[in-house]
Amino acid sequence: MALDLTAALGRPAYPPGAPQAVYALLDLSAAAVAGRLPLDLRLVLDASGSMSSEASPGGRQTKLDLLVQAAEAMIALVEPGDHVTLVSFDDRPKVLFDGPIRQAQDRDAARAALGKLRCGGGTMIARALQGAVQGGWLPDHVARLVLVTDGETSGDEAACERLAFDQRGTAAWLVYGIGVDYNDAFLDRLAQANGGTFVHLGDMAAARDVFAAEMQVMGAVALTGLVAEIVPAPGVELTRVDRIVPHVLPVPVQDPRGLSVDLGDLDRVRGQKLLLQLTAPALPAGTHALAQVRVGYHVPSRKLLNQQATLALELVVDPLAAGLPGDAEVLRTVQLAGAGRLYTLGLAEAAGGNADASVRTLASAAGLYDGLGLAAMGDQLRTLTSDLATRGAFDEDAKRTLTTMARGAGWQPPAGTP
Amino acid sequence: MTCVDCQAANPAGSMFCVACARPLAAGAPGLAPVIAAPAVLAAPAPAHVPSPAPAAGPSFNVPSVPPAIKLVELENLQPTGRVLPLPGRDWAGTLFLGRPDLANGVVVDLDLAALDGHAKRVSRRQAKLHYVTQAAGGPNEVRVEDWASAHGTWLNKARLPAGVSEPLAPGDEVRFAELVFRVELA
Repeated sequence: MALDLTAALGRPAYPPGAPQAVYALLDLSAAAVAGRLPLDLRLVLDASGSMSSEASPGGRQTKLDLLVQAAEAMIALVEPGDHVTLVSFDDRPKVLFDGPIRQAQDRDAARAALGKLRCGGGTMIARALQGAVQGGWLPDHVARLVLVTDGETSGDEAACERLAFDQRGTAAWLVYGIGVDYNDAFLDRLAQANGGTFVHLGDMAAARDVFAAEMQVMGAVALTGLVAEIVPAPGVELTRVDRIVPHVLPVPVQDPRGLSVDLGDLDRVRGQKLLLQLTAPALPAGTHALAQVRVGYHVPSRKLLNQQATLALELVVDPLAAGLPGDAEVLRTVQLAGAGRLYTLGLAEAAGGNADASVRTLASAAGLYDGLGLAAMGDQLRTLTSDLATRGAFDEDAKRTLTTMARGAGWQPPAGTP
Repeated sequence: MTCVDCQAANPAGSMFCVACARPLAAGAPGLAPVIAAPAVLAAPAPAHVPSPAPAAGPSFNVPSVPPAIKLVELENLQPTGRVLPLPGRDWAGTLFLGRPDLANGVVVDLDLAALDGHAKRVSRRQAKLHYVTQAAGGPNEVRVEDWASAHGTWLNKARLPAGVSEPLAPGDEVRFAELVFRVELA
C-alpha cells in the first residue's frame, strides 16, 4: 500500500451514559514511495511599478531584484523532465519562458528569461493567471502555480477566485504576498479557494530560502489526487474537521453525516494530518464503530490510478475510562487547532470594531501557543494585542507574519534542516 | 458542558466550544472564569463570572487523574478561605496573573485585583503559570514564572529571577508581591 493511513483518538476509552466529543487525528504518509515526480511549475510574478521600490528601508536592492533571485533559486532546482512557465504581469501579462527542461541549457534559458523582467504599470492578476494555466497541466507531473505580488489587483478579484476554485484538485497554488500594500484577505481567499497556501513574505531577503525549501517539498511529492471521505457511523455526527499538516486551516463541515475533502498531493517530507471532532451518542460499555475513512489517490510513479486506503475508527466505551490519560499528541493538536481558530476569531473581532473582545480573544490564543511550546508566537501575539489596545490598530506586517506562522504551526522542519 | 461565553451546549470531553470556538470551562484561559465563585471567594467577583459548572461526565479538562492543583490564599500562615482553582493537568497553555488594564493592553487570566491585589502591591503583569506538556507523556507540569512584576514572584521564600520558571508541587508556598498562597491538590 503506497498510502499509510493511521489514526489516534484523544482517549483510549470513553465513559458510557452520555454523548461524548471524540477527537481523532488522521495521519497520511507516503514514506515508502521512492522517486521524484516531474514538475509542471508555473511562476506568475508581479512586475508592476511598485516592485521597483527598495526591498528594505535604506537597502540597495529592489523588491524585484530579490524576487528574481528567489525565482532563480527555484529554477536552479528543476530537473530534466520538468516543465517551466514564467509569466510576469503589470497591467498585462507577459510570457517570459514556457518549455520543457531537457538539459542544462534549458534551465539556463529559463534563468536568463528572468533577467528580462522590467517593472512598470499597474497590477492586473487575473489575465496573468489565465495565461499561466491555459492549455491545461501535464499529466503525471506535480502541478504548482506560484503567484507572487506586492499590490492589490484592479477589480478582477472575482475572476481570480473563480480560476483558483476551478483549479482545485488539478494544481496547487502557492500565493506569496510581499510588503504590506497587498490585499491579504484577497490572497488568502485565493489560496483557500484553490486548497493551496498563502504565505506572507515579510522579509524579501528570506524569499530565496523559502522558495528553495518549497522546491524540495515539491520534489518529494509521491501521491497525487488525494480525496478523503469521512463517514461517521450511524448515530455519530461529524462536528469539526481541521487540516493540521501542511497547514492549520479549518475545513467547513456542511453535513454532520459525512464529508468529502480534496487534499491535493502528498509529499514524503511533511505528509498530511487531519483532526476530526465527532460527537458520539450515549453508548453502553463495549467497542463501537465510530467512523469510516476512505482516501482515494494516484501513484504516478507506478502508473497506478484510483487507489484507495480505508480505515475503520472504533470507540471503546468503558465505565473506568475517566481514569485513563489522553493521547498527548492528539490533545496538543486540538489545542493547536483551537488556538488557530481563536486567532482568526480575534482578527475578525478587531476588523468588526470590537477591540476589547479582540484583545481578550487574542490573549487567549497567545496563552495556548505558549503552552504548546510556541513561545515566539505567544510573545508576538501579545505585542500585536498591545498595539491594538494602545493604538487601536494592528501592525500589518506583524499580523501577516503571525498569520503565516499560525498556518504553519502544525509542522516544523526537523532539527538541522537548512 | 455549557460554554460560559455563548451558553451553547457541548458534549462531554469538548475542549473548545463548537459554537463560538472559545476554550471551555476549566481549560479556558483568558475567557472562562478561573477565579472562584463568590461562595469561595470573599472578594466581589467580576459580574460575568458564574459558578463553576459541574462537568457533564468526565472530560479532558477535569480529569480524575492526574489531580488538579489549586492555590489557597494564606494570611499570617492561615487559610483565608479564598481559593484560586486552576485547570486540570490535562490542559496545556499559559495562564497570566495580575491586575487587568485593558487600556494598556494588559489582559490577564487570573484577576488578582479581586483578591486585594492592588493593596498587596500585585503588578499588572505579575506572574505566569505554564502548563507544560511532557515529552514522555503523562500529566502536564505546572510551572510558575515572574511576568515583569515590580515586587517579585516568590516560591518557597526565594524570589524567581526573570525568565526562570519553577515547577509547583503540593505544599509549596507561592507569593505574588504580598499575596501569599499555598499549593494544594484540588
